[in-house]
Order: sequence, then structure tokens, then C-alpha cells
Amino acid sequence: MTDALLSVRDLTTEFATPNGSIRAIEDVSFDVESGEKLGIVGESGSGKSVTARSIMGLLDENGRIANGSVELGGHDLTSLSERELTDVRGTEVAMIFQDPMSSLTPVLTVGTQITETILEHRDVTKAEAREQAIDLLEQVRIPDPESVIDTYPHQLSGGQRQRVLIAIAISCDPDLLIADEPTTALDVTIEAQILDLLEDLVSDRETSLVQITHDLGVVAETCDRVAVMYAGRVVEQGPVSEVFVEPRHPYTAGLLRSTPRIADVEPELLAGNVPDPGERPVGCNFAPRCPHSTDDCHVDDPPLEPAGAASRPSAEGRDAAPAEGREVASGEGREAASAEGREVACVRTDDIGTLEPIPEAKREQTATPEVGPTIVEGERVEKDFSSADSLLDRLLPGGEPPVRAVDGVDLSLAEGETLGLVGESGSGKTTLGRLLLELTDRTGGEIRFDGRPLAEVPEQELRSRIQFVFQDPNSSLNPRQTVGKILRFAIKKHDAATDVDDRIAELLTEVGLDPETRHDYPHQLSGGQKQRVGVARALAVDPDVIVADEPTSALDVSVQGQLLDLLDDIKRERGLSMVFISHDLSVIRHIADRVAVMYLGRIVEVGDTRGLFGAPQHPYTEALLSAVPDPDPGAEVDRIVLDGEIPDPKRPPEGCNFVTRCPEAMAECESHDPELVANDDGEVACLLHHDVVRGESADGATVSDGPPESEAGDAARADGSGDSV
Amino acid sequence: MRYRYIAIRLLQTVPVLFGVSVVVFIIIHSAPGDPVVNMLGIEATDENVAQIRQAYGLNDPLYVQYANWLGGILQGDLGQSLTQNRSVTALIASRLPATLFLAVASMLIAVVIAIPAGIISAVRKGSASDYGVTLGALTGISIPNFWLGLILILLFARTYNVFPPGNYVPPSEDPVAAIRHVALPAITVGTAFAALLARQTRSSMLDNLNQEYVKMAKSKGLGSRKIFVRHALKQALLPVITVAGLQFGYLLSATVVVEQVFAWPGMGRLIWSAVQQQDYPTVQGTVLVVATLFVLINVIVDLTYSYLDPRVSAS
Ligand code: SF4
Ligand code: SF4
Repeated sequence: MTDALLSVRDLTTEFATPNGSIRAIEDVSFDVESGEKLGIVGESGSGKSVTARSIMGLLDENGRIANGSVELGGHDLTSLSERELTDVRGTEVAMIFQDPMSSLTPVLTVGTQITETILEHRDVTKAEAREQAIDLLEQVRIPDPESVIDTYPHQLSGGQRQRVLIAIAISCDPDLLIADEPTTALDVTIEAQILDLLEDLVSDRETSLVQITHDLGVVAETCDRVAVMYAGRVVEQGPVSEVFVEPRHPYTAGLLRSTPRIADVEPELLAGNVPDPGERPVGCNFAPRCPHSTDDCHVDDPPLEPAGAASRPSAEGRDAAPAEGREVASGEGREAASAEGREVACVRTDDIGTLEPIPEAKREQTATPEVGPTIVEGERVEKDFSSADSLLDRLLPGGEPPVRAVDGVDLSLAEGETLGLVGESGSGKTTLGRLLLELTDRTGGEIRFDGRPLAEVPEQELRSRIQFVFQDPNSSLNPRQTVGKILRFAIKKHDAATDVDDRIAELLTEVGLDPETRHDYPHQLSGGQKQRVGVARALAVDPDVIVADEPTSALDVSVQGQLLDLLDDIKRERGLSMVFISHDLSVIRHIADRVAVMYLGRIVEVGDTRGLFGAPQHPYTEALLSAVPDPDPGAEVDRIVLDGEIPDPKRPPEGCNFVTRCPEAMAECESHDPELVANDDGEVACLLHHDVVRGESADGATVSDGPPESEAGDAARADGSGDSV
Repeated sequence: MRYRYIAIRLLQTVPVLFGVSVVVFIIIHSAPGDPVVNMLGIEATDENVAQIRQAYGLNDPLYVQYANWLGGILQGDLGQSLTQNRSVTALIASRLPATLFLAVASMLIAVVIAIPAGIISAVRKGSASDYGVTLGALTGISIPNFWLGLILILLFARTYNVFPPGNYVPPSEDPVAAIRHVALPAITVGTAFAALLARQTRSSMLDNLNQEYVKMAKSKGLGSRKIFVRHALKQALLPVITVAGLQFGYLLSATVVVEQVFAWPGMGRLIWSAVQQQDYPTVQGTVLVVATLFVLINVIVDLTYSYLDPRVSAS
């Protein structure tokens, strides 16, 4: 019927579990034309990855395709034997895996892993294969491919490993590439490089691409068409420029509206959770969360049907539109509608019409809330991690230098304020957060709490006034204790006098959980609920300050939104101060009053959220902001793609930390280390904005005092980079 | 990087061996009973006892005795046996080859059986051969080795006369006879070892077959044989090697019992009789040698590991 390259029809995949078989995906259908880029987007449990693996025939042992077909280049992959599939995989369809850390075999060199693919499918000698592999490494923009080819995966950075995975995938010129969350495990600036690379490769080679992702921004920036999946089904598909601008399915709209954005919009709450496979409701899977649901929605699974071009329904127009729509769906008009390519699985499509992708409510104009006096203050805080783990290691020559995780950081937190700490891996943001609570010992500098040095604050007091919310609730909640017991322990430690049972109920209610949750063990809760318990435990001691380390990074967009709102409410009601650590700029944008951007152990810029996001001063902040994929397909982005990798924190560059990647770098940046200096718009550490060099007071030696290479500059650096002042 | 790793690993053994020597010394000297009385029998006069004590330095304070002992060790002298008129070094030199021969033979038998069995059982998970291997391994672990030794002797030496019931023949004298003689004791010692290794191989192979990189290899279009051999096997053997190294200690302790059953003139029997006669220097010397062997084997395992797994020596 179609001349599509890939044609997936009614694909249904089941997994055998101890509780019977579970359908991970049901009746999934879509096409990918030659040279087309399709995004499959959804939250966890949507079945997007299972779809990819079903196409490749890479299901786990307990999985099987129960129904449907996968036509690729004329044959149905679901009917091929394992042996026949080996001829298809790699040459006709190849996959780029999500996690570059675990997808390369650790004991084989990069070269072996690339050449074995070529040798398998092509009639070439080993030497020729090696030549081709080097060429491929060059194409994926790995510097010095001749030596990288003989390295082992662990010797490469995450970004480079992802490039190697891409090189393997394209090595035999497949017609179709399936990329399963290829950038999720990467830092923002590296993600931008990889997306750029993929884009170029795919268009140069005219390869078709299926991009599996949870990130609407990635789809908007890299795909032509999108299929939105929810609870094992495709609920809407069509051109990105239409679906993301005029969504038709209530879930698509909800997802778009709840996604935190860099732009100045307040994300909306999408209540509820994705149902687990096996616990999906009768009728429309989205019905329990859908603001438009009616009784009709609970009868049957709505099929994916072409949606006519509906106008935005007015109160009276509602009856006119459906009549047209239905006719189109049933008659020969199907072809016409398909050509347009919009399909929606919702019984009320025609009543609902098109929806708004962006919530109207603008962000509240209060740039900074009422803040009190400074409660936590850090001065020249430093932390080194030594990689030498034994005495011998330290005594023998040739060992590794220590990692300077936090390198002389000043920061302050006011009462009632949320400070966002943002940075990529190796920036030291998490270490800095831990230092504030003395969860780890400082190497240098001073931290004051309420004006007193931490050394003078009794341990007991510190623990009851500052609390930490961990990134991973699975490892921070004791799996053998019930929620009640976990909270009881925290409450008792703080105040033995209170009525503990009442307090537990109170705390659980405060974090939006049913007080009966107290009888549950952590594994019985969803990720979002676990994280709420983590918050409740932190609140048990009535803290003044909460340090939250990536508390939402393991959660889906809609659940993340719920937790962020909860944290924000609690903070307001209790008048707490909060340090919110995250790699995700959109989340920081949403929750923080003030933002500190970290790079390689330093704070490079501080400012109030609105100002910093609106007009970033530091080149790094600017690049970081531009690198975040925007879910608005119309958005004009001048993406600044930074070159290179984040340097090894064991060997930071001379001069400005950012000099190796800075698009604005000047000659003096290589020898002068800029200080973080306040100006009208915040604080920034960049020689473009001032000429104060680190290690000197503002009126001391500056760049302008002498030529860049002068001894004065070097001396300033030499004694500035080390000890605290 | 690799040389540095090897150097660190070797230097680390020095304090370990020193610790072992102290512990061995203290344990043996805190055992009740008087070795000299033992040595001379009940008729010994007080005078005789005093004389001997003097001659062997047993009247010195413990730390002096230890220092003397340690000084001797550093020169390769483990002291004089109290019960036999020979140096401990000579005693050990006469016994060690038999034990090593038995240990190596057991290990070989175990490896040759266990690793293929473990692999087959993992690759054909859930099949009859998998159940066979699992059941066999369970049985192998549960059978006490002295009992197995007796049964083997009864069956293969007494009833069918296929193999001789032990009796060490040095391989340098007659390799064929040596192998025939070592067969039964080696099977006895090796069975439990093989069972352990088979289990470990199976579980680590299964573990590897579920890794992302195996899926990745599959997605390249490689055939299953290449995937098993290249992407799963090498990795899967890493933990097996570790277990084998750690269990070498088991192997040595198993020989103490098995050597009795098969009248094998090895270290096990030497230790056994020395302990019974409270022959301090011999017990100390043998235990120290065995401990050193154990430590060295583990260093070798670590180095092999670092050779097979490029991640180890780098970090
Ligand atoms: S079918 Fe009903 S519940 Fe489902 S999305 Fe449409 S309106 Fe909502
Ligand atoms: S100081 Fe120089 S290198 Fe550093 S951020 Fe500013 S312009 Fe870039």
C-alpha cells in the first residue's frame, strides 16, 4: 500500500512475568519514509523502547511479538529466523543504544568493535576494515582517530563512547537508524554535539532515522514527524510542526504543557501516573488523567484514526466538526487524511478540536521573593578527592593527581530563597551541596551557618536544621523498613516528645501521600512516591534549609512537575531556604529564585533566575542555555555548540577554566584566571566583563596592570589558584 | 600504568606475609602442651627436658624466639624439626612437589570439566543439559571429599582395578605412572572445586548474556557463536578466575584430608603429623609456606585479571 521504508503494523509485544503475560505495547502502527526522521516520544512505561527493540528483534528472553508486522525494505522482520536477521541487522537497520557506558564490550578495543561489524557484512580484509574504521571515527568527529582506535571503551569519555556507538551503527550504511535515547546519559553541551552530528550524518547519507526519546525538545529540533506514545499505544502522530503546535490528543497537550521550558512560561501540572502495563484501565488508557474524558472513553481502546483538519471548536461549532471528521475516517477520504499524516487515538477528537501546547499563565513577575538575612555562606570552599586509595599508591611515583572537585567557591543562601546550582558532570555541584551539610569534609575554606563557622555548630543542631534530599530514593530509603518506620526514626531523633503517629500522618499528608502509606515498604511505591517519602523524611526534623540533589532527575516529566510543585509549596509555606542542585536548566528555571552556574569546580556566574536566563553574561551560561532543546518547533534557536569535552578535573586548564571550549576566548584567557565579580546583573567570572584576576582583591593586580604574559599575571594565578584568601 | 600496578600488587604482599608469620607463630605457641615432653616421652627426666629446651631456644622470651625464627626465614632457614632429625626446609622440599602436583592436577580436572559445563548450561538455559549440570554441581558440592575418596578407591582401585589407589610417583620419574596414580586423588579433590566453578561460570555467563553490550553485538548482525565467544566469554571468565584463585585455599586444605585417604606423601600429611606431635618449627614452617603459596596465587590471579580486563590496571 505504501512505499514506506519501514512499515510497522499493529505491533503487539508481550512479556511473560510471574503474574502472567503483560502487553508492553499494543497495536502500534507507523511508517517511516526514506530519508524521514521520526521521533517516538513518551514517558517511561509508554513502550517506546520496547517498540524499538521489537523492530530489531532484540527483546529480552521473556518477550515475544504477539501480533503485527514490521516490514523493512520488502520483508517482514518478525517472520525472519535469527540467522536471517543477522543479515538485516547492521546493514539495513542499525541501532544506537542509550547508554554508552554499558553498550560497548569493555574487554575489546574500539577498533575491534567497529571492524567486526564491517568484516561481518563486507568482503574486505582486516587492514581495509581498519582503514574504514579510522575513517568512520573521523566522520563521527573523534579527534585523533588513529590512536583512539586502539583504546578500550573505559578510556573514553561518555560523549566519545556515544560517537563510537554511532560509528558502529553507520559502519555498513544502514537504510534505517534507530536511536534509543542516544543523548539521555550525556551532559547538555555534549548532547548538543551529538544531536548535531546525528543530524549531519543522517542528512548526508539520506538515512532514515527513528529517534526514541522522552525529550520533546529533542524531537522538535531533530525530527520531521512524531509519534506520541502513552501506556503502550501510539496516541497521536503527525508532522512535528503540527503536533507540537496544535496537539489534538489531550495527552500530547498535557505533556507539552507540563514540560518545563527555558522560555518564560509556567509549566502546568499533569496529575496522575502512567499506569503500569497490566494495570491499564478498560477503554482509553489516558481516561483517568484526561480532563476531557466522558463515559464513552471507558468503553473501548480508541483506535488510531486519521484526524481531519479541525478548526478550534467554539461552543456551537462542536457539532459541525465531528460529522465531517467521521466521514473522512470511514470513507475514501482516509487516503487524503493520511497524506496529511495526522492520526489521533481519542474518541472525542472531533469534539475537542485542537489544543494549546503552551499554558497561558506566564511566570509570576516576582523576580526575587521576600528574602531574609543570609543563612548559609561559603567562602573559598575547596574539596579535593585523592584518587590514590592506598599508602603504597601515594608513595610510588607516577600516581594520579587529586581531583579538585570544588575549587574555591563563594556562595550565599538567604532565608526563604531557592538557590539553583546548575552544572554538567564534573562541575562539583553535588560535592558542593554535600559540603554544606558536612556530609563530606572540606579541604579548605570556610562555611558559616547563621554566621557561625560550621565547626562551632553542634552536629545535632546542624543535622536538624539542614537536611538533604537525595537523587536516588532507591538507595537512600532502607528497603527493609516501612515508610512509617523510616519517618519514625527521623522524628524521634529530632524530638522524642511529640506524638509520633500523628506526626507521621501529618508529614505524609504534607507531601501529598495517603497517611496509610506508612505501612508500605519503599519497593511498593512508585518513583515519585518514594521521592515524596524522601522529602517527608527531610521535613521530619523541621529544617530551615533543604539541599536537594537532582531530586527529580529519575522521574518522568509529569511526575517531575508534581514533585517540583510540591517542593515549591512546602518551601513557601514553611519559609524554608533551599539549594536545588540540577543539571537540567529548565527545571532550575522553574524552581529557583537565584542561579549559580558551575563549571569544573568553580561558580562562573550567579544571578537572579530571570536575569540570568534572559541575558546570560558568561559565555558558558550562554552556550548552556542555547544547547537545551526547545519543544517549540517554531523557536528560533542559535544553538552554540561548544567544541571539545569537559576537561579532566585532575588537570584543569591554565588560566580561565573554560578557555579550552570558550567561543569568545582571548589570548589573555590562557594565562589569567578570572575572579567571580559582582556587577549590575549578578556576578560573573569572565575577562570579557571585568579584568579582576583570581587570588587578588578587586583593587589588586588586574589584567590591565600589565601585558597578559607578564609575571604579575602569572604570579597572581600561581598564588591565587591554591590556598584560600 | 601496568608496571606500576604490578609493583603495587607485589609490594602489598610483604605486610600480608609478615602478618601471617606473626599470627602463625602466636597460634602455635599458645597451644597447650609441651612439645619437649612430647618429643622425649614420659620417661624424660627434668634434666633432659631442660637440656633440649635450651638447645632449641625454647626458654627465650617469645619475641626473641620469633625474631630468631624470622631471621632464619629471611635466610631460607625454617629451623630444625623437633621430631625428625632434619631441617624443616628439607622436610618441606621433600613434600611440597607431591602436594603441588595433586593440587594442579585437581585444578586442571576441575577447569576442564567445569568451564565448558557452565557455559553449556548458561547458553542452553532451561534445557535438560542445564538441569544436568546444575544437579551435578549441587551433588559435587554436597559430597564430603574423604567419603568420595573411599568410594573411588573401592570402585576403581579395588573392584575394577582401573587406577591405583593413590601412592605418589614423581612425574619426573615416570610421567604416565604419575598421572595414573594422581587420577583418583585429583578427582576427589577436584570434584567439589569443579562444582563451584561450574556454578560460577554459569551465573557469570548468564549475567553477561543479559548485558547491553551483548544486545549491541546482536544489533550489529553478528552470529550467536561470535557473540558468545567474543562478547560474553572473556568477561564471564573474569569472576571465575577470581573464585578459582580464592578457592585455591580450599584445594590446599582438602589435600590434608585426601592425602590421608590416599597415603599421599604431601604437605597435608606433614602438617597433620607435625600438629599431633607438637613439632613447633615444622608446623610453623609448613603453614607459612602454604600461606605464602596462597598469597602468591592470588597475586597471580590479580595480574591475570589485569591482563584480561583492561579496566583493572588503568584505574
Ligand atoms: S478518549 Fe476520552 S479519555 Fe481518552 S484522550 Fe480522548 S477524551 Fe481523553
Ligand atoms: S575569561 Fe576568556 S575564556 Fe574564560 S569565559 Fe571569559 S572569554 Fe571565555
